[in-house]
Amino acid sequence: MKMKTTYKLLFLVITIVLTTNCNKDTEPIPENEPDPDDEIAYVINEGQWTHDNGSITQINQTKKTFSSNYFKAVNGFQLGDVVQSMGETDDNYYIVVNSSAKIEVVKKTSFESILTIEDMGSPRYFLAINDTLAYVTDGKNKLIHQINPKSGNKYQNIQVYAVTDQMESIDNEVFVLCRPDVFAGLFSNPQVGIFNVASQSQTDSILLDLDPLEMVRDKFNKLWVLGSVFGGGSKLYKIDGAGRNIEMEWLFQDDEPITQLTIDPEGANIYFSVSNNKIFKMDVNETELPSQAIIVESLQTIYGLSVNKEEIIFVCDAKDYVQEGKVYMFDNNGQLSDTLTSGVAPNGIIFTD
Amino acid sequence: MKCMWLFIAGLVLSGSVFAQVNDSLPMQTITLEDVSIVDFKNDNYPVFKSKELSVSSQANKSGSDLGDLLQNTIPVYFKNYSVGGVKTIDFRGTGSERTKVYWNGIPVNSPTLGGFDFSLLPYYFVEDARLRFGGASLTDGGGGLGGSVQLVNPVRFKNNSIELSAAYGSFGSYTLGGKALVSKGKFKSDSRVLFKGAQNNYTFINDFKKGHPTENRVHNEVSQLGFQQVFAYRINPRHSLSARVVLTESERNLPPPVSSTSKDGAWQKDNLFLSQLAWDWVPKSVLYLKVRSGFQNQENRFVLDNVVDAKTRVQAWNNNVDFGYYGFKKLKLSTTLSFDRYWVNSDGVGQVIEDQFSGLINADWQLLQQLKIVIGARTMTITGSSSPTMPYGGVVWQVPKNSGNFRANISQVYRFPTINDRYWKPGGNPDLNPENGWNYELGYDYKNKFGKIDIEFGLGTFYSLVNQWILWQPSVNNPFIWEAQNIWKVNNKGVEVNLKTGINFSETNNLIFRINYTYASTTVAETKKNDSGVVGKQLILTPKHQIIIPIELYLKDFNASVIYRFVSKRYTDRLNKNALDPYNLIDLVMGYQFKKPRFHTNFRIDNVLSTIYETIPGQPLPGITFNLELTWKIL
Repeated sequence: MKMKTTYKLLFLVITIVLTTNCNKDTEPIPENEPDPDDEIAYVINEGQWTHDNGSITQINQTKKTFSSNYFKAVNGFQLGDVVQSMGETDDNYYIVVNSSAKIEVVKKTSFESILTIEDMGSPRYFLAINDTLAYVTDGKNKLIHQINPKSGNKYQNIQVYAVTDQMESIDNEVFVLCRPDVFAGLFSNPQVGIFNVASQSQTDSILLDLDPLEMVRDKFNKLWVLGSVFGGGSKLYKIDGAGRNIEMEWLFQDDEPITQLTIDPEGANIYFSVSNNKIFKMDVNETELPSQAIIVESLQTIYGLSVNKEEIIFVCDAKDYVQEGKVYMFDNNGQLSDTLTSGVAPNGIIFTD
Repeated sequence: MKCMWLFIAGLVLSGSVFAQVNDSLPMQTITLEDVSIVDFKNDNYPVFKSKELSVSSQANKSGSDLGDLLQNTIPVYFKNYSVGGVKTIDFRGTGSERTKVYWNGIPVNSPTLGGFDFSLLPYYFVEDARLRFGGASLTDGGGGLGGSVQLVNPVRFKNNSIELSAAYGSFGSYTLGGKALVSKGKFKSDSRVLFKGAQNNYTFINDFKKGHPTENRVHNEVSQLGFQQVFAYRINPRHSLSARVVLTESERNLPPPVSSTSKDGAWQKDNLFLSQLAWDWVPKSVLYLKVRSGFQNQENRFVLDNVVDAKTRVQAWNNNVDFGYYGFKKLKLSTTLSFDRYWVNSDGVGQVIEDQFSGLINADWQLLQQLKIVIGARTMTITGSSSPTMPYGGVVWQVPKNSGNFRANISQVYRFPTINDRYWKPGGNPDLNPENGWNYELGYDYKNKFGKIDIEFGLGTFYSLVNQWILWQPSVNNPFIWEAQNIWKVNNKGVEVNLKTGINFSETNNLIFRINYTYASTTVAETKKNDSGVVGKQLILTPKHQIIIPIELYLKDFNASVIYRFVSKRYTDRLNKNALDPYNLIDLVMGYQFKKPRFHTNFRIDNVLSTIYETIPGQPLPGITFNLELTWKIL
């Protein structure tokens, strides 16, 4: 009798376990397609390596709505993992998915996937040079991919002596952040490499003393570069690309490093974060760092910083990179105006024109 | 309390390991077999939960490697990258670095990463395994918050024998093995060699890609060569010497993530060398002394294209002395002292030399005929760190009229941070505190025989609150730098149920039915970060529910088994919003023993239902798999 009761109890336990663990998470329902005049912001969520949870969060600033995992909602499949960045041409966005070694090309109007450019090594950033040529930098292989942005066809790579990262195009030259390979340390000269589009080669360089992580271009075509090195020191450089020289540089204390850098759409003010709790605004004509932060907010991990044309400051908090992040929106006085939950590891935001 | 500490202090001069040997005798008589290598006889009245497993008799009936064999027998969870790939064990949801693994008493967890890759040591080189749960791991050493696994190969054989075995299976898997056991007078020799490999080019549905295409796993080949030698020499009935060495070399291609459109993967090579000299001495029938000294070398090289070429080399000199005295009428005393020196050389930490000292004292006190108490303590120190004392105690009460045993125990366990946690550049944190927590357990065990039917039943519950849980997190100041930090307080609680029923039709014909179930809730209780969302959430990749149901049939020379395994969903993010799907697996095994010539055949079908499952996100495991093994006993 006792044994029968035991078996019944065990059967009940097994049944409960089997039935209570088969529920699937519900998929998010996509928001309505935006109107052509709506102001849209796309949050780039890297996701976790090998977890296939990289995503794009769409924020419709006009309608005050947002849609998480927007790419999947529109296209029906996951974007991949480690979504690094988004580049653009007149008609399309180019979503660079690092670990998936691909670029997903989507229409700007509908976000519909129209092309997947595969086997791209370890792609980092996309920059359209003209209608038939785009550069894609590589975080593992020491090269720059040259591709046709319309067809996805690949041209001959440009060999480089470092891994390559963010780019800015000025006239017929492309300025590329080049830094040592973090694993092998084979390259000892962090620099802004200067590449000539016509000759398809590196023609010059501006040497830095710290590894360059971020770069923006101001309205005077000056380059602002955030430099850092693991375990010590961070700097902000102001670089004259045409003159090939560093105009100014500011050293930050080890316990208060500069961590993110962005610029407003007009190129008139740079914004940068220090540690994980302060954001500063600085006119590009200034020669001194600002003494007062415009935002003081204790966040866990500031991993992305962007400013739209209304000067709303978007701050991405990646937390510990293994859970959904947050996007905080501040007005130009530093007052928190809105907050939303993003995907995993948000690293930046792209705005529609 | 003071009296207890005085009592413990007094034991330092005598001491013990958790009691073994037959409890029915008023005074124990120790023979040389009792102290062979590692105490391995189960206690009749276990105060702490443990499980013994004869690896050699189960081999290939329960999977293709040691990890499969363990997880098809008890509900432990293995994280597995691929067939033959890196495979780490997880007890009670605490993670591989909190589950300690020993080879004949030598700790083999990597001092840099914390875990042990079970794929490096084939089951062919292991005779027995003993699993100790929770605080019971203090018997083996410190740091096993979840438990410990002791892998041993004692010399038990009496006759000469030679056998060859060969296996071939799906996806180009093959194994060739040979074993020679020689017994001549006082001398014994056990020699084994193994060569195995696999293409691992199985198909899987790639949910990461548009249209969910079916793809072949590529760049996933593995190969392994291993050799083991044991010599034993019995000088006289009171003295024995033994030497053992195992050597494996494993090469693996590591495929790119399934999300990747690239065909390029990585390559990994591991060399494992373990050795030990042992001296067992039983000067009197109530006294034993065991002295062990071993050397190990673990090398790992990881190559990714022309970009990464990372090397790690760990060498260790491991020594321990066990001493036991069973001369008192109701008291068994024992002590263990150990000293380990590690030399680590890796690209991430540079060169590190570290000494670890540990000591254990233990007393088994048969207070009443049906009531036993065990108390003891382990202390441990590493170079330049504190030396916590980890006390433990427990009681077992044998219910009259053979109605089972109730047991209760309490223990404190510390885990020191790994060498990577402390010295990795950048982000290692030399100021980390050890993880520590109290572990509480209650249990009931019942065992009886009704005619031809054997019944075993066990029900247990455990609880621990672990402080100073170590995590790698982005630096407070710099999101680009990750640091090892003491961040969480973690709740670990659960229930374990096991039932075994055996019907003995005759001496050679029987049917065995078992059920093992584990519920393990491992959740964040507190966090020092501004991150309250994680509180109360289950840790990543930690199943709450696991069930294993093996059914075994033995009919003279024929045997067959069905093994069912269920693992519940495992969260992949800290907020528990995404998870790997739960899975059900069924394996079938059939074997037949031919008399002349003496062949044994074994046919195994793993994952009969071709269940799609993963234990690591983005690392699909194979569907239905066939394997045929032939073993020829030449002598």
